[in-house]
Amino acid sequence: MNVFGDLLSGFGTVLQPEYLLYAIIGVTLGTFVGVLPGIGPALTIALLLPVTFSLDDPIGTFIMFAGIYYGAMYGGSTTSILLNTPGESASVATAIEGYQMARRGRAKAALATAAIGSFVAGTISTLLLSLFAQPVAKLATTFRASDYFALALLAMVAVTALVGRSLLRGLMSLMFGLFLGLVGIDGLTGQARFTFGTTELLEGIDIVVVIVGLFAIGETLYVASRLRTLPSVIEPIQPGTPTLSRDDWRRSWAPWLRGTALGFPFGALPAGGADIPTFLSYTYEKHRSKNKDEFGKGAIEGVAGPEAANNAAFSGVLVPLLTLGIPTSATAAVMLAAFQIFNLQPGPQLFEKSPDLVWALIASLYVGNVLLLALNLPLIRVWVKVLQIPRPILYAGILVFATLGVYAATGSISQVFIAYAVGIVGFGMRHFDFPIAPVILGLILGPMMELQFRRALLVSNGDMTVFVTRPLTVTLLALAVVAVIVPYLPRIIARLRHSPNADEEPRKLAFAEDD
Amino acid sequence: MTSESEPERRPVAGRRSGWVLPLTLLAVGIVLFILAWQAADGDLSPQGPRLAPVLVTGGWVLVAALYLLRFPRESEKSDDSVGWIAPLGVVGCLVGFALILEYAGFVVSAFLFIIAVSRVLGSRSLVRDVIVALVLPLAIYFAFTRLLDIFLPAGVFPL
Repeated sequence: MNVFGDLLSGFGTVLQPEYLLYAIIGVTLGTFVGVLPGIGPALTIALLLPVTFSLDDPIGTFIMFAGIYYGAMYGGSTTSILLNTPGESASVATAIEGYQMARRGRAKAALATAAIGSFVAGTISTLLLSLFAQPVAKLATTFRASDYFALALLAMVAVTALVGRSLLRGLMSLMFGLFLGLVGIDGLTGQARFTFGTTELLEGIDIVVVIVGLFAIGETLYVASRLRTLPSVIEPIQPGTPTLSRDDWRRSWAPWLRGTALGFPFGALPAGGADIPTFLSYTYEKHRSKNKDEFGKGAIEGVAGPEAANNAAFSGVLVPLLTLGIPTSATAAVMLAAFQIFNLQPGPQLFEKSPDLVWALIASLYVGNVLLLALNLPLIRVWVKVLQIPRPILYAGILVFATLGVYAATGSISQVFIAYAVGIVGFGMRHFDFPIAPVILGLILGPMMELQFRRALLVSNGDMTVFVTRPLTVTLLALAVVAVIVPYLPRIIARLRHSPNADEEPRKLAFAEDD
Repeated sequence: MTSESEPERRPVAGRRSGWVLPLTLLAVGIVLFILAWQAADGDLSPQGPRLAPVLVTGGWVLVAALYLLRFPRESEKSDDSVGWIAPLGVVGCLVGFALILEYAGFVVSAFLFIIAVSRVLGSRSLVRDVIVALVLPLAIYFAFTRLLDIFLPAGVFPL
């Protein structure tokens, strides 16, 4: 069957009333949790994972997850604009101009350009995903173990090097994640590693435990340490449904399209999901805009571009996740965990084994987008009410849900304590400014990498040249080296040119961190 | 991508406490490396299960050592607005919650936890907190056990 036939049957599935209900529940839950300050899509999905344990229908569950993810992104942009507390780093760029717009009484226009831009970007990038997914999956069937090893290494290195401000801090986070991934029984030989003689650690450390610990508990402890300095003023919005004026439309449409063009490919490449394209989009719009002087005071282009890039990157991230089984962002890692709960392994086989699931998931992205546009703008006042939940109650509730989530996922109090311990480490990481995303990717990709490395060697009878003789493997490994060097390029170039700026404090390409 | 386009940064910890962190990271790394080395017992074949732990913990030690060397350049800002009592209080509440969860049941332990932790987080309206602490756990309990068929400890109340 061709792509459109597949997609059409996917729509046939999603538009059944039952699945439509799942989509609506997902979108609403996602927006509700996403609006809460400090909570990004990764944590939203992790906290809501227990809800799926008793569901035996993977299609319904993934339709719901797609809704939750989109909802969490929309919700996050609302919080960034009205409260200036981006729940995830992909919304940081939105917060810069969006909050300024809100302070100048233009909250409605900012919310509208974010929502409509996300819709435009989501629709275009989902279309691209539909077109690209199957060819990439076909290509992926030719991948061998050594290619997977190189790809996982590239994804890990790229995220660590490009996300966050310091390569050393990123590497330290990555080492911690890799270490967590080692704990437990070795999959190939059954030997215990780093279990410290306990039985609780034999099964390894669950990704849900780590995500809940790092994001929910770590974030709450961080907030608790800074109770006095929290922003709590919500910018008021004028009555009526948010809309765009003629002039706003004129200034928004091009940034939407440019944001999409940046977001999708960056998301699809193993380079850390939405952070880089949102900042690239922001910088591009800032330098190219005719209204340059408005930037920093609430330029609508600075909201439209990054929001579109953010949304487009998600569909991009699904390309490596669905076709190769390689997550390139924290959220994708949680989605992978969700797949594994249903004993589904994303990768080239997924398209052959469960095409109905894949295409229903892709179709649900279209549907989720439409639902969000229909739900979000008219209901904006409801979401603002959610923002007004008092902080102590809000964080108490998050902690109850976090504990509950770990307990329901593992059925064991010792896992709850592991999550708390990880949470304390997460608090330390926030306090000392270490990025979180490399921990998650190290934990997920590390074991994957080791497995493929050893598998490749088993196939080649221990011949190490297997990693340098296949052109694809070599290319991917070379790209991993390039990813480490790229952040230092500005410094290197400045030194080569002996430019007058070279005396300044050397700057490094840096992007915000993915929470 | 320069600092001017970046948002406000979360403050980096102060100078005095700063040496503790890189030294701790290095010490932990060395301990883990020794453990990995001992477990390997000389068998570091690339196909075996003992190479990866040695590589990862070795990498940890290396990165921690580099971090220690770079440290004086990296910590410049200090931050006085950080409180330590509230996070410790939250951890205390969490530990208490987890300890009594299976004995007292979800509803009772969550009730006590919400009231306690909202105090720690600076809430001043006790009545509101008590209402939330009653309604939220009950709602969660019934939604999870009745609608979703997920087990939660019932504890002392015959719910």
